[in-house]
Amino acid sequence: MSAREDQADVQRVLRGDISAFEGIVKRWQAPLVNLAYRFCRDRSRAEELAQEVFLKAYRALRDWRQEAAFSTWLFALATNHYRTAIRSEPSRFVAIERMTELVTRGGDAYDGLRERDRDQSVRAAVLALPAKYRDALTLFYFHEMDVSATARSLGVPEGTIKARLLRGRGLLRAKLTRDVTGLRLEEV
Amino acid sequence: MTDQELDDILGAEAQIEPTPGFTATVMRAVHREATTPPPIRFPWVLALPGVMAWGLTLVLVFAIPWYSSSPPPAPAFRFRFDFSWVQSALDSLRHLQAGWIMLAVILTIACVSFPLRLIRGRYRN
Repeated sequence: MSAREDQADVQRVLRGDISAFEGIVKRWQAPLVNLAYRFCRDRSRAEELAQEVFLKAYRALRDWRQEAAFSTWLFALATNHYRTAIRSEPSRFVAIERMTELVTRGGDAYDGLRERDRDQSVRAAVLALPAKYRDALTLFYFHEMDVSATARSLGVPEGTIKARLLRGRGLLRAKLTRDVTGLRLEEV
Repeated sequence: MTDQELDDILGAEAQIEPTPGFTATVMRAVHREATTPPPIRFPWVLALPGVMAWGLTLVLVFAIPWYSSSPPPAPAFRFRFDFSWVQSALDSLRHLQAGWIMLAVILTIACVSFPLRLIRGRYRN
């Protein structure tokens, strides 16, 4: 249904009816903002990035070859834009010391808080990974663990994605475990 | 931390909602984009003679001294036509330092004709 609506709206925009683009924006704003947020962890920046992607999509609408779904094309465009944008920006990531502090902070009364902090720390640690593992992990979980959708968004074969996920998870685990152990030793 | 724990944490991220005015902001930007005239493209057709003149100049500057200083290559096969007049013409040109004179002339012509062509093109459109 959405694919057909996308196609119809694109045709209308290409014929000169700019207002038809609003349908595309309404359908895809939440996924694009959420994907951007996973790359930058900053809500207002995520909206800025998503807006830039919509503008880019509007300019490049004629380039969409309709063999692939509009969503595939849009996500590939967005992924490319977000990766380029965050590469050129100063890092806003949480320092690893802060992450491990959050992961190790104890106390039964704070279990709920600790769990939430731990989750945030793990997400922040994903952003601190080398770009190719960070991108694979970010998109894999964004696409609800769909390897082929991740591969299409990044424009690489599925085998490459599987390898990057394996290595990325390994790096993430090693990073978190090593830093937590280091912190505990320091406390002793 | 196991793979399952990582999957649970990273797969269960809360969704954020775009702010209410997001669609309107994007559409304003799209309308602005649609009404902005496209950027003026570089007039490659008009610039072509100038570019060619530059190319020729570079060839003259670098090829003539090299050609005149390098020994003549051994003929791999016999030419049907006699090109010795080219060699003698180049020798005499080198003797007169004509390369530099030609370079100056070509540069002058290019400097005058290129802006003239640009202006003519603009007024023609």
